[in-house]
Amino acid sequence: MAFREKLAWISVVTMSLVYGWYFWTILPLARAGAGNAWHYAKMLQATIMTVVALQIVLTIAAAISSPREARAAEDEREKLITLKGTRTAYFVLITGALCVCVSALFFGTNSLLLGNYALMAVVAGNLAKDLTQIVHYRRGG
Amino acid sequence: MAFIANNIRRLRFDRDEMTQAELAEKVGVTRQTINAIEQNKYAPSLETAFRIAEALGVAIVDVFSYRNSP
Repeated sequence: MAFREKLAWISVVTMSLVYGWYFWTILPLARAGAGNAWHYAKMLQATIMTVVALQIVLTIAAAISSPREARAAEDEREKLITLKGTRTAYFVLITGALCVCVSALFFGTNSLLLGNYALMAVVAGNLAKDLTQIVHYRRGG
Repeated sequence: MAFIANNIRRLRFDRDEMTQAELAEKVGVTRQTINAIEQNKYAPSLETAFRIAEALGVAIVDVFSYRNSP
């Protein structure tokens, strides 16, 4: 498996698990209007720090297992795959942003929930980017 | 449908079984990219195509050809 495909897998697994836990915990509270913005900010801070820490550790492990690939710059096929992933992420993010707008304008969703929906769109966009990259790495280009 | 065919596998074989990794090193891409090109899953840029030809010591037309699939 290519080094950059490993990185995409690391991102998918860590973000799915950690943000999955975050949204599973936070969304029922936000729907009920419980807690305040600081409570959510602390939870989000812990979530982001956990994702970053896990990704750093796993990326170092992946780099140790393939040191030459880890040192090399992206080649043209990898750059193209990255761009394809970014294009998918763009559409997912735009769709998510529009859903947040509709939710705010037509359903009067509370701000805590809206903030978390926006975050969910960002996470979904990132997952879409990584999954698109994995599909293209598996296909070969 | 037209596609870009290549003789990289045969040309590597003719050069003492040069490995994909060795060719990748000379060309400046990853082994996986050479593998994808060999299997016609990825069409390289013109620059990379020239680099592959140079690394194999042949003209670009001896490596790549434009073909119509039957």
